[in-house]
Amino acid sequence: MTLSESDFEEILGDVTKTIHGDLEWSESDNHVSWLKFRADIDSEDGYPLSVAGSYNPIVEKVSFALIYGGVGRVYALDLGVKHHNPTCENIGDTHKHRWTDCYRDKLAYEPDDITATVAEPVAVWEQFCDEALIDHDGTLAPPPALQTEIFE
Amino acid sequence: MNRICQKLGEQMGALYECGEKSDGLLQIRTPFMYPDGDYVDLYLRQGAGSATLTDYGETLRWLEMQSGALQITSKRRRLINDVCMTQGVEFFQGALVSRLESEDEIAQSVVRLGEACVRVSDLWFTFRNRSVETTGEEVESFLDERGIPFDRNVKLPGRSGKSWRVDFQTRTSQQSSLIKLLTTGSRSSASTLSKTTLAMWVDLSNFRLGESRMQFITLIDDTVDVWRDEDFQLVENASTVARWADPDDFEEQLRAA
Repeated sequence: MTLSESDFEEILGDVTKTIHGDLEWSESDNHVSWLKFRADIDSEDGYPLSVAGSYNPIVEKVSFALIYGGVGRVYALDLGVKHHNPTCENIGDTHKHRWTDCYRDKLAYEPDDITATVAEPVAVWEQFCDEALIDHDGTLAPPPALQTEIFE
Repeated sequence: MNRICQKLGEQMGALYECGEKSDGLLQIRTPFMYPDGDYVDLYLRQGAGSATLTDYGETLRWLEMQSGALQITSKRRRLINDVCMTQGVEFFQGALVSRLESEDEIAQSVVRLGEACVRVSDLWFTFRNRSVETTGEEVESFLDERGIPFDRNVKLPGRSGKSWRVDFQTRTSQQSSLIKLLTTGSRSSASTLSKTTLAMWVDLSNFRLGESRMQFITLIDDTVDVWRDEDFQLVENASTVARWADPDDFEEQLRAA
């Protein structure tokens, strides 16, 4: 299925989006250098929405993304990585992707509402939820310590 | 400036930014991009005797963030191994890795590993829940792969005189089928679609009779969680229900006698 930009704006503006309960980071069998979590988002209109988070402490990068079932990532915040827009601007180390009809999720901008740093992933999460109008009625746990080096 | 960064700058020019990330770790910002436009960063960890160039799992992390549920299936693992073989890199503990025996190899290794990151990130095209391809196109690809002949968007007259359009008509050695694909991202649309589909199958019921009788299949795109039990039960009154999340079962129904 596809998603229109106006549908996306409606979803993003929906104030009933809620994540219930506490969230914790987890490791995976696939990788050892970064952590992740995933949670479903409830809403009155029943959008098939979930959120994904990932944090790589070795290279100091963190990302949060809104994922729409059947479409994929429609909104995301990245810290620690630069971006190139299809319109040819380069965007800095803190940027947000936002769904558009023309470019899907490839268009990014530098937000002025993210002041937390990569070293504070929980604070970044809270600021992400603020602009996305997601009410998280629990807490995101601080990331556990990882094996810091996998290569000698 | 770090000696390796200097060498990289001389060999590769200003498109590659190189600097110390932390003690003993260099960050190399390449001009390669993941499919969404994020730049590929590589990292050089220097050790005794050799150095390791790696993405520290960033390519897999990028893939994870597209769906929130990355699975390295055996097929995807084969694709990754194929990329690694071509590029002369390793896939180790979720990271793409290249070993440097000498600093002179830095430029070549950066290009090969950067290209490997881009190619592995193209696994994104194997994800089913992405917007590049519609569900109808996915079903079409599936029928092609499984060698099931089909016609697309077939218009048929109902008993009421109204014309209906089914998404696929298939013909296997044992069975011919009419398939209506139900796909939507909204619960309210799901309910409307199932009611309309029931009406369609009832009106086309004459196609179930006679020598060339057809099997009616309602294929529900349940990869999106908007369908309720009553939606399934409604269309089950007049058709066989198949779920797109279980394509093997769908194929069995198409081939069943």
